[in-house]
Amino acid sequence: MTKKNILFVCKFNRFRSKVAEAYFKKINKNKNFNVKSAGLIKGSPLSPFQKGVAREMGISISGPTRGLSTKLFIWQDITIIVANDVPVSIFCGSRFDGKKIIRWKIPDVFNEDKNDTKKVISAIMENTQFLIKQLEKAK
Amino acid sequence: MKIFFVCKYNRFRSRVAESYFNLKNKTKKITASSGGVIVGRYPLNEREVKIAEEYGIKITGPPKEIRFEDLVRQDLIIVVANDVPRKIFNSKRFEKKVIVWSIPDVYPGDNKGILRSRIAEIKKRVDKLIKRLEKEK
Repeated sequence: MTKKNILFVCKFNRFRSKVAEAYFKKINKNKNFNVKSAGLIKGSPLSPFQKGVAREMGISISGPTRGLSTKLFIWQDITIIVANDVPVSIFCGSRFDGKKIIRWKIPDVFNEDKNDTKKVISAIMENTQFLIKQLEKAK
Repeated sequence: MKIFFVCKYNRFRSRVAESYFNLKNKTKKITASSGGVIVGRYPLNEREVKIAEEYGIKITGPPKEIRFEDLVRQDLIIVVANDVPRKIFNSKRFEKKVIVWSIPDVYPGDNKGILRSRIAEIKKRVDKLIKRLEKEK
């Protein structure tokens, strides 16, 4: 099976794309799938609150935030926008021909409400589980 | 006052705007920098750099990303691109004044005429901006 490089993108790479990347790595058993994440804007360091809530749900998000780069786009085969505030049009144009883009319309969390944060994490987990199933099927 | 010029890759449009602004601006209290939504390849396109030089515009160094910590310090964000949606900069985390100059990108196969017309358009916009800022002083 050919390798698949998957890039999760959100606005700041502080939470949503980080959760998707970490959860994908946690549940994926297929070594042919590689994942990275990045943000349209390189965000400030991760929020300890969001890190804590993710940890409670078994997901460890860590490391510095990362901005998007042409290098990453050359690397990726599938870009997954884990955000409702990142326009797909950014990834259109001749420089992106032949690349697959999927959009999960996940809202950002602006408050420190545990329930809101958990809802977003659950939605990302659900989408990630479905994605892995689809990738396995397409093998 | 801090002005931040943005385009898609920070390889040409926002760099031309930044460099030309810094060349023409005489007010030390106004500073300009630039960044790209997707950090573009480096080295820069030699032909683009040379043509910009004809206008006294120097573009050097690697493209830069847009960092949240830089963005929050800006007073004015100018999108020098027709392919970077304004709504990227609408955020509850920072509320900044955003202006869009709808300038198309340049591509490796573009002829000199296209490159010159893009530079001329950016120069015109920057000149107007400087005049306006001078008046507002």
